[in-house]
Amino acid sequence: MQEPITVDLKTTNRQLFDFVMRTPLWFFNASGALSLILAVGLGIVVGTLWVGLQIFGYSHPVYWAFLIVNFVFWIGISHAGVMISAILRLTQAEWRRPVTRAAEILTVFSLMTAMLHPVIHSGRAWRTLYWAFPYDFMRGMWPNPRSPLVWDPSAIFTYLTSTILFIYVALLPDLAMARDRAPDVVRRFAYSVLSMGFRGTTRQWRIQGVAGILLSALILPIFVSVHSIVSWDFAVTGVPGWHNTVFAPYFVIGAVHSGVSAVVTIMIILRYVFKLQNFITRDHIDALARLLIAVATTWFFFLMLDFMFGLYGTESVEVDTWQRRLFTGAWSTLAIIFILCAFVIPVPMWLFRRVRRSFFLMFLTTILVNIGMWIERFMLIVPGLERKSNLTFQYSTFTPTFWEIAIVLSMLALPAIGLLTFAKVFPIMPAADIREGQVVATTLRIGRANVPATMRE
Amino acid sequence: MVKPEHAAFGLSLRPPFRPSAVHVNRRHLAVAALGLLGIVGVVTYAMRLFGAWGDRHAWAYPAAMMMVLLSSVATAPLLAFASRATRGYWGLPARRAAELFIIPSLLVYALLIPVLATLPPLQGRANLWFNFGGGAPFVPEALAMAVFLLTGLALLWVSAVPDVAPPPSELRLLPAWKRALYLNWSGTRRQWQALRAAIKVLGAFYLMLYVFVQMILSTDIGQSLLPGWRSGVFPVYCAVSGIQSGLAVTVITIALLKKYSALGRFIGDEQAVSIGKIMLGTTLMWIYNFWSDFMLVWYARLPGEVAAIQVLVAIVYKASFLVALFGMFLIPFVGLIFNPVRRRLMRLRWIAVSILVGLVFDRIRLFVPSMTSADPFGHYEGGPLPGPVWPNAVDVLFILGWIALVALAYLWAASRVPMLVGWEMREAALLRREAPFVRGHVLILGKPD
Repeated sequence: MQEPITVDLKTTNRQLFDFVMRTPLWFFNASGALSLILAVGLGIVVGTLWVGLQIFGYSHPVYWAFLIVNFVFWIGISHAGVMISAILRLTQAEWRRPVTRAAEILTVFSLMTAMLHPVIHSGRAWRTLYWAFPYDFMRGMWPNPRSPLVWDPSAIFTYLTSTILFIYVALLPDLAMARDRAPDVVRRFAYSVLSMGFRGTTRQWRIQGVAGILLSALILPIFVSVHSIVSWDFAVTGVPGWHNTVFAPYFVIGAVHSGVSAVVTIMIILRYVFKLQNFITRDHIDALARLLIAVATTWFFFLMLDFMFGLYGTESVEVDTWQRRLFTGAWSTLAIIFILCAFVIPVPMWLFRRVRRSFFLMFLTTILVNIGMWIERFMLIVPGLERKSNLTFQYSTFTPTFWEIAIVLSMLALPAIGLLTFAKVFPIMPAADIREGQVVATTLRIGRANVPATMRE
Repeated sequence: MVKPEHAAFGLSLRPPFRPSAVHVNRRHLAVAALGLLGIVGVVTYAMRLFGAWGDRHAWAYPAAMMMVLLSSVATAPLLAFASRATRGYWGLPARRAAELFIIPSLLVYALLIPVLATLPPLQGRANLWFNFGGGAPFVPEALAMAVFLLTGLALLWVSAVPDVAPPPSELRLLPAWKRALYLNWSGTRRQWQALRAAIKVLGAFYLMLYVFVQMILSTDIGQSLLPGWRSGVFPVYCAVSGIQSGLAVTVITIALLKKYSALGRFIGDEQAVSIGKIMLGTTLMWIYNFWSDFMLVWYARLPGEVAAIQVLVAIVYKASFLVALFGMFLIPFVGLIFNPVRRRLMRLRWIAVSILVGLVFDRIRLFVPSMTSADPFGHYEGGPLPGPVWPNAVDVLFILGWIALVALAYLWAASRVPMLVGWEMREAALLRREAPFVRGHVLILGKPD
């Protein structure tokens, strides 16, 4: 890294714990505004429980639309945390340090957001209990283990549990630091309990380090399995355009593409909101952009595979679905927007160092990617369903209603509130990890040049 | 005994470090045996070429062998690219050993042309070319493979120039074409910048071309010939298992280098630790890609797809599949999760051998049934499954002969170009230092931008 953190350890502590220990006025304004947006969304959800799903634009045979698209989208975003944190931790990438915590937290709250959607989509939320959980033994009714209604909750809950555990283990030293700095008894007590007696002994550091590495390795298969299972929700059906064996890796890489882009967006927002200019530097954004070039290119290759193997068998329904997606009416416009936003505009831009190191342009391009990726999920799901039936008089189209659009937009507030609340209670950057990075950062003198270097055991 | 890292440190004190090429003794028993087998390989190839041109059944095992070579020796150079792209010191002593596999990869072309000549016309069978014209699939595939191999050659040459180019005083005396061949190398700052950029770009192109070539070849001589087989993840499966095998080939090579060559003093267990991790990753990717394919077919139960799985996995080539499963997944997975195996090069090589054995059987089960398919046209319409086609004596001699040819080509390459990237080793020696820290020592790694 060319831009090492220049502040001393004391200033690092103060800046990273400042928001945890003091509450500025804007926090109340921001959380109030976000809560209001979320309340609107929840109001609509309550409305659907009252009047049913008729307020949405469903018409036979299209019964999966915005809510399922949003489910897949938020599951995708949740892949950022593990991708960034676990892989970079295992590969000992130094630039990971300020990035990991926010990415992990984004995982948790986007997973929670994702989980809400199938429940809302079911129309009768309470019924999901006996589709997914074996709650009533007396009736002898069991969930069908061959149904995605069982796969999804199993995968998502496993992922959520392991992510929380992962975050907690990484958080322990920071909790101990918060305990030592807590201004009142209540918070000191809470942080004492949460930090589980972490005092920073050699043994505790060693165990914490090993646990972090082990969890990083264990969580990777879970992370891959979650989006694979989500992809199989679609691929195991006979809907045109869905039955493709490439779906699992295609969904995973698509999730990583949108997730890492979301992390960049969040990092840039955090940098300005929490004044973290000393910790999130142009180098971090540059490194993430380089990663995104590789991820986006791989994703594009999988997109091409999906397209080519859709047409490969020359089966008329598959060809028709792709024709519809790419060349028919509004779908063709959406296809152009999607491919421009998700690949054609951002990737060539990221090839330029000046763009990679510009916070504004990176913010803009990563937002574009996520707009594109949302449309991609929409285009994967709906056109196939519109031609699901064999008979032409059973064909239909889907038009979203105001209520669906409102739910999708209001759900953006949920992870935002989650992140804000988390940042209020815990440091949003791994303070201990950043301090370690400051200690191991050094320079090597070679001839007349000073080369940035790092210490390794 | 000096540790490999310390042997490398010593290079920074020796300004003109230029590694030498490996001396190959032609009278050595192993080399003579390879030569003999190589002759057998050439003879069996000639027999097929002149006696069975255009006969798809006769070229089934050579086609499988071609896919083995494409998925092992041709992918080895990707390790050099990965190590450079991640600026990983771990890959340094293995980079050139991996890149040299470009030379035996050229043999793939000798197999590609007769195999392509056996393919039936595209009309009436599933394919990726969609009325593309332009002589598809023959011309584009031959062209793509040629560009892929030429990119590899360029990559090898560019990375070798600082090691093999004569000093500027001697370079000036050479004829113009030789000076051009050595890129007029005098080691100016501008030349170094251009060289680094060229290595990065060529490496990235090599990777992309590899994936593309795998995609078109695995489809055209694989699933396109077996009605009912339609798998979007299959090209990815082939590409990833190829990378896994490329790593295996490199591990075996550097293990041999460590054991039998003077340059082995630069190779340590640091390489094993990192390559072992990537191997574990690709091993998991193997089962993931396989499962993504198998699970969907198993769940959807479409007759054509089920028949394909019965041929490739469950019934007809079950034995080959089981060897592949053990060789490419179970043995490497169980071995590589243990640190004592992953962290010792001499143990890791046995895992690499297992992967390569698995690869041979895997490519046989995937490509022999396609090449011997009775009717590659149309859609699957039921009927009995075809029987397995096992290799005859000529096929076995062909396979052994071509393995020997690959080894001979590699030895020839190693006798011309040094097996160690001297300039990168020396640079890395400058960027790595040991320093005292608290009560112990730490390694300081410089990471220039």
